[in-house]
Amino acid sequence: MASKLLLGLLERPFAPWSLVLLAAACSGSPPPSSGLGGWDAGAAADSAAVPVGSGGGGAGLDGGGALAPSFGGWPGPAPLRRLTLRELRNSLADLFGESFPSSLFDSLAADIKEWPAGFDGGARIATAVEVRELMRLGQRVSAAVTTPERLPGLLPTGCPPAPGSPAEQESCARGLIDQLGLRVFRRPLLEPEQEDLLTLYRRRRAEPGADFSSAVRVLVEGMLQSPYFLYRWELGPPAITVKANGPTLVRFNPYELASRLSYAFWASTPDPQLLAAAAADQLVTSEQITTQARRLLASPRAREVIEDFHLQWLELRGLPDQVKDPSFTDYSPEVARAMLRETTAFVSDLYLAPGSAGKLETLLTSSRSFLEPSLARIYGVPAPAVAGPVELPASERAGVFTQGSFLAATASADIGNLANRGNLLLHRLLCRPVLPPENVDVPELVERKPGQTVRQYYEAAVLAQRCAAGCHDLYRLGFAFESYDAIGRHRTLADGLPIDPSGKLELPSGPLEWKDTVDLMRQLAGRPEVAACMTRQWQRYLLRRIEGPGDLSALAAVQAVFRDSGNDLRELMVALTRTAAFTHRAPSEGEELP
Amino acid sequence: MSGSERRPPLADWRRARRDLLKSLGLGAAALPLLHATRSARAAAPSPRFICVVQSHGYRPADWKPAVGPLGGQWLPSSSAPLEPFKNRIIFLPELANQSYPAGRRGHGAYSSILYGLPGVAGAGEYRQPGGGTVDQVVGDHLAAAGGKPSTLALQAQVDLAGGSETSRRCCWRGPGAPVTPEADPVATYARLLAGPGASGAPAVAGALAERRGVLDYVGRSLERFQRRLGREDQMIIAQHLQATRDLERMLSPPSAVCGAVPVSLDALDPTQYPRVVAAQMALMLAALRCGVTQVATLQLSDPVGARIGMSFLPGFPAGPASSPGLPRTWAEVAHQGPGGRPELKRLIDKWCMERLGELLLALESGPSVEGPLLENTTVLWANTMEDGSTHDGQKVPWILAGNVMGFFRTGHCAASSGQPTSGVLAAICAAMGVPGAPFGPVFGGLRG
Repeated sequence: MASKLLLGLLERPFAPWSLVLLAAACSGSPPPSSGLGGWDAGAAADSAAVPVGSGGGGAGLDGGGALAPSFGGWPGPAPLRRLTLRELRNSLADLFGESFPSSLFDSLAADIKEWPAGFDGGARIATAVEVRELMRLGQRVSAAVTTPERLPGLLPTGCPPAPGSPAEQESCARGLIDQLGLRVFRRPLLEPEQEDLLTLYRRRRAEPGADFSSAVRVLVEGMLQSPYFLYRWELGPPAITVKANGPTLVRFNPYELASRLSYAFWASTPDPQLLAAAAADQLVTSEQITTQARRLLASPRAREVIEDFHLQWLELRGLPDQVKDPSFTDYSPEVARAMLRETTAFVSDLYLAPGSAGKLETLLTSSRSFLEPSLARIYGVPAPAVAGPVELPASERAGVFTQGSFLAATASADIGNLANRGNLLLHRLLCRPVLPPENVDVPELVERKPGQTVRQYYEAAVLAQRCAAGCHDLYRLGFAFESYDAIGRHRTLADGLPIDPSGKLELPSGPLEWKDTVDLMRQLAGRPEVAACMTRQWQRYLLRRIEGPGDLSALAAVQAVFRDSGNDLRELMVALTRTAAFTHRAPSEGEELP
Repeated sequence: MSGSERRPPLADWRRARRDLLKSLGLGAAALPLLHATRSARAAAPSPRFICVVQSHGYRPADWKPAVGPLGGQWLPSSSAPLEPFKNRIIFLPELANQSYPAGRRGHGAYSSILYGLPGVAGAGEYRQPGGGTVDQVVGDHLAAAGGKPSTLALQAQVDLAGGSETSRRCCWRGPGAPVTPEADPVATYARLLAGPGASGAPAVAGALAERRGVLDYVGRSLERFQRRLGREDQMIIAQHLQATRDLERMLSPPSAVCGAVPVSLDALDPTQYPRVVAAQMALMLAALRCGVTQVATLQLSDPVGARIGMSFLPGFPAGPASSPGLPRTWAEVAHQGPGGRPELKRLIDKWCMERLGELLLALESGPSVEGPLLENTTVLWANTMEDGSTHDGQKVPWILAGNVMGFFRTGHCAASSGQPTSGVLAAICAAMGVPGAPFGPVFGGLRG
């Protein structure tokens, strides 16, 4: 059974880890609880928990007290990636205390969606044009922060506003390399790196007509184009390796952990508190890490990441660009933007509002809305007199999957597109991707007959035929969303014919049977598969990689914490920082370890 | 803080117009980094025309954007290198090529692709144009109008042997009068452009040195960074490093007025193909930049490209061209049908679009004796067939770049399906101010 399960898990070649998992399964480490083919393992492993506590993962890391994460396992390699545009913009703003115009970032190479994780990673820089645009960004920013007015504020502590002698100027440049370099590189600079930057400064300073400020400008520009700023991870001192009871792992050092925390919760460079904690060696134990995670999550600055996760998770970002049939007179790009604002306000309130319980159940079943007047007609309710949350009809709306944003984004221009909606539910809420059929002759669909409902049509045309794994379930879930048209309005009739949103589905935790969409969402909210999938989705977003078999035991432990917290999504996010996947990585292939 | 509305101040190395004019011709990518402005130009510029011809089409699904403005869409994967230049180009998919007889499938469109009208008998499927090709028509007009007296025809092929003269030529004075392109960029550079170098004005030279200094630092940082990574990540950084070095090279020859080509290069060596292409493009730019000519053409290969190994592209099977069992040449890959290796064809298509992107970057960036080139230059990137797997020479994908001081409405994918290529050639002539060009009605979908 284990090997059959492994085949289902391997979304990319990962052979050594499959052997590891097999070994773990045979040696008493918690195996996934189900061997259902086609389901992501995490969805099936909801009840498999490992002991919580230092070194309690029991899966490869030694129990060496402080250095071990709470939840073990053998994580895969951490992908090297450029900062995303969001991370780049935020990092520059935090470094220099100024938000730079978005136009500065428009011409940079766009982020690449990392598949199969499904969330943005940074772009690859492969052409001279892309380097030139990075250079322009560095030039603009460095010029802006080294004006005569701003230069004194940039210079390091102890440096006069206008250093006079060449020696004094160079001393200030050295101080700047140390102090600003720490924040730009997110770690103390190594000696050769300091020397390289000093050389850059000296060369510019020695050019005819160059002055101190222009040499500092070039110095800052160089830092901002450095791979140590542009790329994650933070390659500082040689890696620390851990080798006990399993394959060698690399432990992230405190500065790297500071960055992982900061980019995970704020999408930005570490703040002084994180850097101070790293310097004091206080980002080592799980407790220290989670203390910082809770601090970051409690900040309003976490809102951006929370909103971004949900927009990416639900694939909503393209909504304003979607064109709808002109017959939908209640719809416009502005309405689409109001839909997105409704969803982001909803999730921010759920995670961050004082007194909010942050429950998964609320995310999936609440009829609460942050309604703007332009959405009132979509929801068939009166426009709110004042801004603030309102309750939508509870018989029609249950959570984010019944909000206008999801329903409109997953629809076609004129119809609801049940296949797309069903697919998103399977893929993003149940972690069950529908794989494209292989060697299946996909027949042309026949025309829909007069008097035939959409459901009747698909039941005859698709469900009666052989289909890719998961394909039938995709339609079954999609039928439930026939209750909403292409712009998200609730309806009971389509083309004058009654809609039947009821359905059945087999889940690893047992059969699911629902009478309508709201009933479906309420039942799903209580299913372990959904909690397990949410765990995976957040980990994929935070780590920007797909999980491997070596992550499963830790994921199961996180799920247990999540469950014990009553499915509190904040606890889920914090618990993910206690995993080996957050604190360690496997060496990359070909990487030379010390 | 209202920083989002704050504009960064101009860098203090923004240079005086006089300095810029004294330094005309410095490295290709220099000027935008120096914040050069239109006011730096000396006088009303003369139009210029660049024409590049390639064969074997593109995989349409990976190349062709949706008809309409390009601003609201991502370019498909093969065209993605043109993303930064979307507002400077017009995609022209599925143009009707009347110069190639209907019903034919093959390479024959190559010889008359720049004529666009039904031609006269040539060699087999290769027909000769019935008159001068567009480059010659434009060149003759500009020469008569007081422009530079010649066109410059280049060819970056390395398989010069074989095939008739008719089949291998794209530029024609008229029937029976093909223009023989320059095949050796080093020799041509020496003949046309070599001479004592001129240093730029101190201020501009200093700014260029500053740019190079930063890039040199970045390059060394990337090298050090790369050493610590695993193999896969090393490749990511290797690409970044290569791109950095490319930009550094563009900023490099401060002592050469016009840009330079390598000092030595065997243009007939098949393994040198990408270097030959780069050198020919550098030569073309240098000639335009320094006013040797106002019209330049470049053939990226002969019609077939049978000996051009593409193994220099990452992702291609390694080894010499024409190895048994594996498609390694442009021709082998392009000729494969749906059951072949479409991913390899995509790599080639993308590589070609990267070359166009680099050309536009250089035109946009580099100064010339009359100002930034792209403002008054039209680039025609022509293809001789729809897709190598179909060899449909009647339905061809072209790209036009540069708006010639607002003459063309760039930034869109034109509804060009079925429109004759001759209409595009006529539009180019109109943009260049050629009266009574022989190509018939202008394709109106291109005008600003």
